[in-house]
Amino acid sequence: MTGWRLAFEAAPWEAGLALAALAAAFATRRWMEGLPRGVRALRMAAWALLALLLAKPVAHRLEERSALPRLAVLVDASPSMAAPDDEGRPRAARAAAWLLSRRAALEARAEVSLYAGAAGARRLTWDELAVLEAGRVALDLPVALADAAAAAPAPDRVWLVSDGSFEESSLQEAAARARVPVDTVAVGPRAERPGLALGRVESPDFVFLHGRFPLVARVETRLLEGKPVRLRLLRGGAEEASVVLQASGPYDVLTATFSVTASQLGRQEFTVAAEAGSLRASRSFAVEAIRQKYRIMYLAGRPSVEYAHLRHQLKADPNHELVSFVILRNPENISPVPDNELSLIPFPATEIFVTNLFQFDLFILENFAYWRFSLPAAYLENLRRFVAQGGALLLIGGSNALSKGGYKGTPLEEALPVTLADTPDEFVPGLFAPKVAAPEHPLLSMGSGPEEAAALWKALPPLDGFTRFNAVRPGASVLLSHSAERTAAGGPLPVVAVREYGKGKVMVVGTDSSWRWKLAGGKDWRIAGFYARFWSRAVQYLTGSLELKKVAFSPLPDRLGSREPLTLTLRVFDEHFRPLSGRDLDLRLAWERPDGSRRAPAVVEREAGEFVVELTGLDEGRQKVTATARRAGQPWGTDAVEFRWEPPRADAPLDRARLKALAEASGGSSADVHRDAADALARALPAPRREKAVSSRRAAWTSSVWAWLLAGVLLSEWLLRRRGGFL
Amino acid sequence: MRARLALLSVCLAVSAASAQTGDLFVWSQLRYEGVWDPYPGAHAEVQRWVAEVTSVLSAPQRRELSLSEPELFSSPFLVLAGKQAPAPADDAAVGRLRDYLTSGGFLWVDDSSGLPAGGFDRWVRGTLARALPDAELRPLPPEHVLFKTFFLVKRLGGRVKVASSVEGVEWGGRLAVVYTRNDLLGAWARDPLGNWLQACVPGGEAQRMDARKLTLNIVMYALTGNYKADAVHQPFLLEKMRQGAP
Repeated sequence: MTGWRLAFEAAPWEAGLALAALAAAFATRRWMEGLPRGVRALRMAAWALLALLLAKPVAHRLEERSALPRLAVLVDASPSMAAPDDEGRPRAARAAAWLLSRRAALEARAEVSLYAGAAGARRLTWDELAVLEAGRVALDLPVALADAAAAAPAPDRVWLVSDGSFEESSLQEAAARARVPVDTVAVGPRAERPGLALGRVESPDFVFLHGRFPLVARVETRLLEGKPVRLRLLRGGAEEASVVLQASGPYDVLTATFSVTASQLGRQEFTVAAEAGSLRASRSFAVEAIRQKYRIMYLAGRPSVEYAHLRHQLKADPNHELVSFVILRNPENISPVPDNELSLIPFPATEIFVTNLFQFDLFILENFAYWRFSLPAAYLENLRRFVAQGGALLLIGGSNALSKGGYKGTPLEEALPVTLADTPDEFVPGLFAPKVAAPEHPLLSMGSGPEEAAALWKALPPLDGFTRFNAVRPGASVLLSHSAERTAAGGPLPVVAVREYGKGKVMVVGTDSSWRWKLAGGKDWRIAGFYARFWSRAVQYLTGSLELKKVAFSPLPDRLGSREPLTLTLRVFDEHFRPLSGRDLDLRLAWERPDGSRRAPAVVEREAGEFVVELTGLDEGRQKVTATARRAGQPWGTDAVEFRWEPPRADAPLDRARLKALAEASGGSSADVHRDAADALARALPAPRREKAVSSRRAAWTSSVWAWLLAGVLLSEWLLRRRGGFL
Repeated sequence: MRARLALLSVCLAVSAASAQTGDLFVWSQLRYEGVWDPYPGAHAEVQRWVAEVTSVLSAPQRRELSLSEPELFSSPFLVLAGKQAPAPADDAAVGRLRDYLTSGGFLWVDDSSGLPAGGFDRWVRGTLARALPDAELRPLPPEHVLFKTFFLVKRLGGRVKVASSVEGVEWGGRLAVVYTRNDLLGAWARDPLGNWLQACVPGGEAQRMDARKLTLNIVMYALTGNYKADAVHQPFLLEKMRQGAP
């Protein structure tokens, strides 16, 4: 069956001229009024003819024919393809021989395009395939498949002839970028042994404390069909959960999902272990548990400026869930009005100290006289247990607190970083400038360096009122001390002291005048944010969040890909563990190479707070990458990652499971050069299709007939006008 | 000259000493050219009642200071009272007032003139608009936490009744300024024999009691902030309202 098709081949400027000719014909219409109809018709015909010629009309003659499906064959040319197979030939040569021996059959079934795959796909002829050798660059499967699929005309199917030594993590991406089914043909040793390997373990980089999160582990099995495979999840060496799965084929990928609770704050080490008979495989990884919100109970002994400001500070932080109670009236205070005219509520002591205590992360007692309410000593024992089991306690002094408040000799005193004074007149009013006793303590790291921090502390106004103590307990740290006063034991008198007790932390502040730091920010801009920063760090320190990394590399996979660039993921968080954008950071990276030289690797911010670090030009050996972040001129955090990088291996085992997984992911099938399945693969190709193709073309505009025709029209028009007397 | 220097030294010493109050509540009052202290004994009355009724401990001495004194930034509760307009505040004073309020300071302004819109009122509005141009002096709604920091206040007291609302300036999630115009301090003033100095009109002693309650609530707001707005209190407060609190 034949047919014709008219096409125009004018270049854009030529098409523009054609349009201009038509526009001219339209524009000169008015000038032709009064001319004979024949003249007008000839003029219009001349313009139209000119426009047609400028558009370059071409007539295509179409013929229908049978078209074979298009097949792209991608031969892996990565270094592992140089490894010899059972017959002593390199795998690349084996692959080429396998294809060449089937060339006639393949070309009878398909239009074959050949490619060599490495960093991309390189077009090959059959002659070039015959001498194909493995190169030095690892196979970048997604890129190579995308290259092969992007050829025009697009292939209907892709064959990948490979030993499967590409990155497992790239499988899904490769299948997606191929856009057509990929059939895989395995090249490598014929003999296979049963095997077990742990693939990817999907785990979040960090989770919220007390929350549940999934851990997904994948196990690749080889020749374990029908055999039980036991997967165990270990946390810190103890078994957390286990599951028994069964491989359903010779090459299978078993997936197990464990649901885990983040029961402890901080870094938690996990191991996934797989067993099948005598085969063993395991993989360890870590998950960082952080708090979602700090639940804080704040109990104050009386209304005070300290209470108003600290409550406001804690309440304003969206990461705090604050419940506070302040004693507005003591038993000895009189009431001038009936009770229903007062906004007071009963003091819920039992709820605070017993029922709800363990729901909180931090308990604050500010200037609270325990004795005044005749509360049982068991409440304080409960508070001590709360700390021992991981809670945080902050005691803020004042004229009603500590010894005067009735804490001397109670079970709670045992948990404090100080021993309380023997007499209740321990609180001494008066201005004093506290001295920084532990400048290196993380809670006090308020400046970008020691000098700046010292200047900041020096700029602060004096505090008002301090508490005397007997002694500092062993193991406690004095952060701020009185510049002149001493403890009864003779040591520096603590103003702020901290101590770890059991699994928790306790902080004692011997004054309730820290509000002075806040108000003084109004007259000295340098200390404007000091108050907020101090208490924010105090809460983070007490609840254990200060030690959590704000700058962290994601855990590296078990098997580092040998391709370049090698990418690492770095995450940066703010103080509330929200992603911190690069706009707000000064982020610096240093890459220490095996020869000791240093480089600054390329960094790209993929999304807010997530940075991709790219390493290129890698040499074999130990690599170390250090990330250092500064925020608003202050050190924000640092993290380093160390690993060993090796170039692509020339002795990688044949990974049939990976090839099978790729084929399944793309909708193709898998085969093996040792079990010739070329015919089966060829049968999967689409049937030849009927399509119309251009058999010849005639460019009408190149014929001189058109020029003569145009000249004839113009001459006729001139003659007509002459005859009618319009010249 | 020497005598002046000696006097100045004494003043400085007193000033420094007055900052040493431990953890007590200090009544600080703003001093300016003019009648800055219309009721000299009122603060003591207020503090006495605060000590009787609540658990707050007060420093017995009042602190008197001007906007230019460094002690401003160690005086978290500041009272400004007056009957006539003070001299216009210069830019430096307005700047310091702004720094004070935005860094956590609390200012209670009490118009003692008894006039609906006198010179003092105009001065207060003009000065606050200059100090906090990005915040507005607004009437506080009856459900504002200021009216339940200690007493459940439903009626506004004072020596007079010229304003139907208490006004305030919110800054950073808290009231930085509370402005009362019914001469609250006038309701506290006593003569040397202990009798009330002035009658409260038109409501008499009930109006005086309302004034006392509101005054105490203002002090408690400065010392507890929005504490009574916490969800934990709401069921109790609603129940008390239901029981017929005034």
